[in-house]
Amino acid sequence: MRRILLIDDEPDIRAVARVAIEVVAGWACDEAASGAEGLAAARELKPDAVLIDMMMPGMDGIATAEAFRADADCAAIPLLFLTANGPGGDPNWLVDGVIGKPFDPMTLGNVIAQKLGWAP
Amino acid sequence: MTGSLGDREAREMIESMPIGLVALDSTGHVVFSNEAVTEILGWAPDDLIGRHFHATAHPRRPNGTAYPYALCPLAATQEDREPRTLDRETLWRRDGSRVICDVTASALATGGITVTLRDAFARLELARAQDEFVGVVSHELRTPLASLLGALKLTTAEGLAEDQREMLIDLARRNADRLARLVDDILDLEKARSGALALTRTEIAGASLCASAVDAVTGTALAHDVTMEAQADEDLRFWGDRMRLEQVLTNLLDNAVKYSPPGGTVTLRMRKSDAEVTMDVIDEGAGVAQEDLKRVFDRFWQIDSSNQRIRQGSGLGLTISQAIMELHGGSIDGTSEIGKGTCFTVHLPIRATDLSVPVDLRTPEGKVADAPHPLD
Repeated sequence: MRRILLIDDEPDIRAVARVAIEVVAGWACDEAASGAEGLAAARELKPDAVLIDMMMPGMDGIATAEAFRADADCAAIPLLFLTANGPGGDPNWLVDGVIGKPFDPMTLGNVIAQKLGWAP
Repeated sequence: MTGSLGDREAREMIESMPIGLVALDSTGHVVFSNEAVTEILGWAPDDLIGRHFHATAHPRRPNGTAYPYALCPLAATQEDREPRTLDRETLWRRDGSRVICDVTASALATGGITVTLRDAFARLELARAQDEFVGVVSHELRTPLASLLGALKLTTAEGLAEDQREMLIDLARRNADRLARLVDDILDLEKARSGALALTRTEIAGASLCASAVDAVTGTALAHDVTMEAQADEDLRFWGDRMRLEQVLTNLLDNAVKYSPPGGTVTLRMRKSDAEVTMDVIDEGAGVAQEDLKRVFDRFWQIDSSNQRIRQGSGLGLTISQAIMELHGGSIDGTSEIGKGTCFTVHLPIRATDLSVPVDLRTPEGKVADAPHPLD
């Protein structure tokens, strides 16, 4: 079973995404409320992919993705940004794909699989 | 009655208009300069008059090299009498610093020209602040909207457990509430900004205002395990907009409760001192650093708590409260000690006019209004 780690500072967005991933996509989902918490969780849980909210207070999405890429244990984990309006420029050099916010919870799993080239 | 504008009125208007205006004679020397020019260039009218405008305020190009008058577009207008517009032109202030202006030049019948100056940076700064506000508002609106829509869509998902469905419906309801509050707050703030927020002043019994404000936050206080205490002088009476003052106190109490530790106490204390009523809202929370205490009145500023913003509020409540108190001729200030708690104090002045002017004719300045505001 796939395992997704979700990093977003909004508890309600996390709750919605979690149900979307667990119930609709049928995968396992772990949550983190900040980049630092997410990186610590990823070292432990070795998720198959990490969804990172771009707009977070303190350590934002880009800083979080950079920390993942710089971490020996987590550098190879596929990363996806969640963003309502990107900060400009193409952030794809840092991550494996971008998912627009608001996302449709009924198709979130399919979108993740498609962005990462996972077999349906 | 028809009338024409007298010379004195015309001169007053030009002197006080918010755009810098200088008149030059046919040789480019200043013959008139208004107040706004003093703001922009640092030259008072009396000091600037008689000087050569280009040599004084336009002597160098942005890179610092000399700018001969003959090459200046102002000289060209002087010559061919054609109006010109220079966007983002570098001018030099009296103190030697530079200022970026939008400049126009047009010919006068007398043979000279008029030059208008607008500080381009002030304009850009305003546009930037507005962009930022729109950006933050749209994030603050989209987040609850996304949660609300996402949760509602998921309620029909196959395989959803009953407790998950209940959680999603509750989540949707909470986010709908948050959106509703945010929309109210944004409208209030916009009203305050545009001057359409008017007060309906009545005589208020302090104890009763205290009780209503405390009532409004009782639910939140229970949820956070915070005890509410209210102290008001029995016979304390004053004038103000009851609904708006209750909104101010509710905002402050709500914040105090949310930043209180479980088991803490929030106190509302209302007293009369010489010429004002003071209302203290005191909490036993973590406190706010001195430099942050000023920022709490900024739009959308909220305290980061272990990297997670406490998001139950819109982040606009204190900004609106400040605006409401300013309309009352009062203010809000705060003192805080890290680890001990915070006290916000609302100052409401008591004025002699409060006792003599009929309520319905009163404006925030205490003057008698001609007619009710159309948006009241």
